[in-house]
Amino acid sequence: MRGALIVAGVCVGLVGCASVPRDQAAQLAKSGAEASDLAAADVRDLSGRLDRQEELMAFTATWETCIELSNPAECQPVEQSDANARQVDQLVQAINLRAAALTALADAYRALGQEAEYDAEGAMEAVVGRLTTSVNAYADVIQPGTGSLISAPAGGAVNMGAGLLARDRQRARLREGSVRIRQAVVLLRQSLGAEVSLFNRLSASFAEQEGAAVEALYDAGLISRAPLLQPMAQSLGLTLTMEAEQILATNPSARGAAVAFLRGQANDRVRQQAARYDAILKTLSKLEAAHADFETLGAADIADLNRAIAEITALIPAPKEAGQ
Amino acid sequence: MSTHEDRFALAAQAYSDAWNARKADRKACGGDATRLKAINDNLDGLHTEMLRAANAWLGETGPDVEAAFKAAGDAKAAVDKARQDAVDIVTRLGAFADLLSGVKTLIDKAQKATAEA
Repeated sequence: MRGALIVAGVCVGLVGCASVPRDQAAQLAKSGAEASDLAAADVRDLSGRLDRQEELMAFTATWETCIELSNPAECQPVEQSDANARQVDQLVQAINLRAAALTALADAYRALGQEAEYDAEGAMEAVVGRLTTSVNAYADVIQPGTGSLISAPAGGAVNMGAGLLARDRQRARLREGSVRIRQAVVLLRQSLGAEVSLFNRLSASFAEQEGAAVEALYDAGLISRAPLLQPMAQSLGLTLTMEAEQILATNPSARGAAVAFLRGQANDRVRQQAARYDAILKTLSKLEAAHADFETLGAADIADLNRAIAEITALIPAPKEAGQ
Repeated sequence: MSTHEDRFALAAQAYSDAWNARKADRKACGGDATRLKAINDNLDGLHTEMLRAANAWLGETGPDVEAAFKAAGDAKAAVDKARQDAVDIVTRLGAFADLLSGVKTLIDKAQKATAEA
């Protein structure tokens, strides 16, 4: 009798935990892991670009400076200052915190999926704990002391429901896991949202520096120029002539048009990056809504969520083939 | 009152403008190595300040911060005008130095105000 009362009490607290649907949890976990993995990959790409920035800037600045010197013998490497290097390192670390938080989110979704599919009791607690730590570390860098940090899970929170039948315990854990993950999703969305303008500015700045490095390599005659225009010719179903390389090297009009094309490509990349960022924020909002539906036994709109994930996937460039 | 975003945007725009004008500014140096170095140091400094603004949460303001924000904005307007009027490179380098100093002061003040809040 006492055991039955405990069961009833916990289930009331969990808004009818006995009815939490496992299939829906598995679908939510699969979609959440996919979206988090895509977002983490995008963030790691940004971190890699920032890491390469120093060498690109040094090359470009040295080339552009030395061609202006009246005495070419005075040409010296233009190097990044120590203060600049320190700030770049700090920014790389901050971006890596963001990637780590998104990876921890993907891991938490995979643990939720295992719990739903295999009744993997105890699999979630450590993973959700790592998620909380990781998201808090990221959010604290973005907006320190704003009081929006999620609290670490209470001891055994996702193992709650002692005294329930095994099936009901699993459902209680699924719901509690969903609550914890949703809190992390909300904080991640808020923190990423606070960084939109910063992210877009930095992304545009990287694209400009990458474009300037290509122009410097082009003008120095250190790269084959014709392959740079290959994507345009290919998209039009055309083939570049054998003379293209020579024309691009010697004809100022052809050089100007090629540089305009390269800048257009760089601007496209900036727009795509901004669109992916928006799509990630939109998907996090949909994940949040799907969790809330799941926890209150509503019909989580997984199809809508998957449409948002498809939007991010469509914006991610196809991997280049070897040799491209 | 300026916001965190306004302060970052000012630092980022100062760098972006300097980056976009770098070739013309270098050309105006007439091949002089010392002036070319000053252009490169200015670009590195503004890039550093933009990254400093990106790395720091500049959430708080106050009279010191607002005064620094206005001074940096005025210095930026002076640089814009110097480039627009194509004034001689020595005068232009002086305006660049004032802008770099103004942005650095702004970020120092905003960081201090945020740390003390």
